[in-house]
Amino acid sequence: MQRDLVERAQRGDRDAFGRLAEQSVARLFDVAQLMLRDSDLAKDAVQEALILAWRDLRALRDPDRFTAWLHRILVRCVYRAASLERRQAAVRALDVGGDRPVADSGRALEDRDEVDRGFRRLKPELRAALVVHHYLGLTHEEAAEVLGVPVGTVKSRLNRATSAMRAELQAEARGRERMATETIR
Amino acid sequence: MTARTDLDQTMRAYFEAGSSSHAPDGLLEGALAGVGRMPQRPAWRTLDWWLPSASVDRVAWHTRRVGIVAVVGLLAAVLLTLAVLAGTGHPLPPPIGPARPGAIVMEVGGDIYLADPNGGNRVKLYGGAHWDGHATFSPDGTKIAFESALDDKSKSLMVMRADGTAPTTLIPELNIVDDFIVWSPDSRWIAISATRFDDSGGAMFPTPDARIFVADVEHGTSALLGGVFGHNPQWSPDGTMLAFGRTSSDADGVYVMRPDGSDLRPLSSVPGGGAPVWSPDGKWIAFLAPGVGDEADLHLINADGTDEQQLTNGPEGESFPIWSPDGTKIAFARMLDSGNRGQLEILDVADRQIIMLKGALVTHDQPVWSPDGAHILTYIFTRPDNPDHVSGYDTLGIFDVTNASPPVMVSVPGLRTASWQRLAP
Repeated sequence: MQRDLVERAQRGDRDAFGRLAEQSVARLFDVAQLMLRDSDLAKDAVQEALILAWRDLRALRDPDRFTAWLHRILVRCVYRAASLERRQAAVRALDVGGDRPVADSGRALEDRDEVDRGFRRLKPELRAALVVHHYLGLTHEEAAEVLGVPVGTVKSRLNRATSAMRAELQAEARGRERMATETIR
Repeated sequence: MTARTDLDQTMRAYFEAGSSSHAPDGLLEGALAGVGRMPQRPAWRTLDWWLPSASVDRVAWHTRRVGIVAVVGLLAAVLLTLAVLAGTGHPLPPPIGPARPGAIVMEVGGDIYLADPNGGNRVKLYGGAHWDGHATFSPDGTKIAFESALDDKSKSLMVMRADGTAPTTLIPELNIVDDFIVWSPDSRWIAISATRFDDSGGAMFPTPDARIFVADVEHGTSALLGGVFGHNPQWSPDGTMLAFGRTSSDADGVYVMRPDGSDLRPLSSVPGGGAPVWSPDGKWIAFLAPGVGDEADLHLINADGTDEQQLTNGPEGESFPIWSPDGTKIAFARMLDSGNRGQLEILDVADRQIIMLKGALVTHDQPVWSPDGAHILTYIFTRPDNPDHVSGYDTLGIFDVTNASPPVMVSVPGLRTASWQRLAP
């Protein structure tokens, strides 16, 4: 079904591409929003990715690879948006307000806030590696294709990202323990 | 949360919680509106068509990297080109120390000539109806300073390029006393000792002693330094001090001062000291002072005024000491023949051994050490009658400082003084 839509879109059928976009846009937005942690930037990145995908769709050799190809375009747009954002407001990357995970209760919410703080401190390339691997569930090879880097680089980025996250979470845990001890005293 | 699996699960949970499963309102519509305005590109115009999809981003990165490398390379090429152009132009020799011998500029018959390093192929560089002489190359070898007589009373200090072009007057109407034009090591200044004539033709400073002038070669200005009476000024190798002799009743001996006339102080307590010359390393000053029978002896003193030593002590007078470019030797003329002619001798500063250069008696003017230290150039009067150094000598002598070969004698009727151009090694 998707292959048929892709082939029609490659022949210039905007309606077919509209269907493809409709099927993909929510996932694309989630990916972009998770990577950028900013819904406005994510919307811009997704719009740009869809427009570029339409423009260059005729170059896609294997229609069955459409989703991976589209994600690769999105990642490029996310990097560009993150770069622009860094230049415009580097401080905002540390702002934990704005797009928060959905509400939850007690310990789970606390944990997610800690993860969120750690995640926002990662570089966009490391965030992207975590998102495509853990959210999209791509293998290292698939992630390499989407991120446009060698498999070894994907592994390296994942390792650095998880190490940084683990360190962040451990630091948060130590801080919690210290506060608890002081409260008891 | 220390296990890897725990972190993986945490990340998945975090992402799932952060995903909304629906796009914000208007996102799809906005994107499709953009699609409606965007034509599709032919496949061949995209990198994806030409390369495996996984390579495209790497190619894009490599393209950026190649671009950066190209820009850096271009800058390097520009710098290299400039360096090569500068190198193929006229590289300058170091201001102090050995250099490659270039042309010899000499005063002959009241005009200025340029000759090959062996004294041959002499061509007229500057001159006319009036007298021009005492031409002296700048240490960087690019300019020649000289004196030019406008009338019988006064001379002007002038400078021109090494090819004889762009002659410029630095100080007009001077009575230059020592006939030594002394360039600063950086080739930007000239020191001379002179008196200046006033408009009526009388001496503005009617004293037997000259004063020291410093001229700014680049800007064509000059200054009289602190009203200091003195002669034979010599620059220190770092250009920060001038050493000179004083013979007035209240100040007698070798003095030093800064080029602006400040910090004037005596260097040596030996009365009558003069003709100081600074060693290339700036640590020592050789000078002459009267000794036995009032004949001049060669002395050496530390540039800070300590450790004064007498190097020669004989009945003949020494004159015109000059350091070798490497600073290991001092050449001087030991005057014979009632002081009219003498022999060239070289003193090794380390072991104080003196050798005499064989070949000819030299006459009464400052010899010149070749920039590479291999030869000494001097002036010779070969006729048997009494030499008349005022009218000029008749031979240019180029002596091998090791005595390994006889001097080269070049016939130059009317020769007075000469200077050797320093070139980059």
